[in-house]
Amino acid sequence: MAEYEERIASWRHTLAQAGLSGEVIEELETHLREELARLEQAGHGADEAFALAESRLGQPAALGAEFARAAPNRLFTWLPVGVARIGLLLLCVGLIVVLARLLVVGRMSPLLACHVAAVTVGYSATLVAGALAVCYVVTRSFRDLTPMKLHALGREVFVLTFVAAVLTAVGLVLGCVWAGQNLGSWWQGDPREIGALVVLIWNVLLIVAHGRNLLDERALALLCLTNLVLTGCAWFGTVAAQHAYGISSLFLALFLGVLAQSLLFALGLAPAGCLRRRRSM
Amino acid sequence: MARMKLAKELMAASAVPMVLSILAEGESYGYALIQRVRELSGGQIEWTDGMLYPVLHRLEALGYVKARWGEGESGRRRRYYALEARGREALEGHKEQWRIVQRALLELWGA
Repeated sequence: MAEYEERIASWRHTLAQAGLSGEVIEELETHLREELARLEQAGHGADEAFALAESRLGQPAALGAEFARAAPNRLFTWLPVGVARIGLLLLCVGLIVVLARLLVVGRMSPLLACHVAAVTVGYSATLVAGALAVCYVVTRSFRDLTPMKLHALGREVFVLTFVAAVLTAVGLVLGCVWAGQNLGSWWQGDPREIGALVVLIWNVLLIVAHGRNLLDERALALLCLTNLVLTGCAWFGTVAAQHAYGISSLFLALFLGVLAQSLLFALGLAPAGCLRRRRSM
Repeated sequence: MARMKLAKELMAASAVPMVLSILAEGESYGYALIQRVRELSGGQIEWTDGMLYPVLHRLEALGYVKARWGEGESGRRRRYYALEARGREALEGHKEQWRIVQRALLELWGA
């Protein structure tokens, strides 16, 4: 195979220039070498064999274009997913900065800081999953998502739900421990504790259902529409109730939230592209 | 028998169901897949070898197949692909579609 090394090296170079990744090039090179061996055995001369094998694999430019289409840039396979990830990352960074400062100044115990961090990120992840579900339903009503984008959505929502479940569980436990240390008993029956428990159970149910293949991507997204109202209640509703912002305005907000959620759910069940204005048919 | 050139669209449409069906027989790698297609079609179907790989990568991105690096015979690394549950479901979908088309055409052609 020594006579091919130089040619293979320059062939590798053209593939790299066409934008193919190292792993893909390695895979194609293995193929090339196996084909060369086969052609040599069939009696072809070295030059002929290489020309044949190279042409069988196709033009580097064409390959580059096909690969780019096949596995597009992961982060922005679907724009909302990339935005969600970046947003959540920024939240975590901001949270660490704020809590670290409070810790350093001694205005918050480490236990409480961890509890706040866990619950904040857990709730945010749940909210983000819900937001992605909304993006999905709205986008889909104009034009259905490609399988690739749908897959990216499903994967992202699942990961967010999983992270949310873990962090909410951790946050809840830490909160109970803190309550035990500072308030006398670990469970107060506080609306905030109940809210966290509900969010946790909801996320766990989604994960279990997904794990047992009961939900496809679309079903998971539709169910996650609930996340926004649910987490909203658990996070802000309980706080608002404690400060007695007015029961009527609270109920109004809840009513509007559930209404919006139901409308989105109905939209999600409608055929794809139903809101697109038909040009002609 | 002279080799027929299959229409580009036909090759493209049949690529995914063919790859999924071959992988349903067991884990395989790119080169072997191409040989199998050649063998199945008696040499009639000749894919542009390089075009198979984007298809495999796309199937991997969709979660239909799972890929791993393994050792080939010459000591070089080879990428092996295995069918996943979602891939099997997708394959069933493809099969149904092809059967529908086949039934209609065969009836028209009086076969």
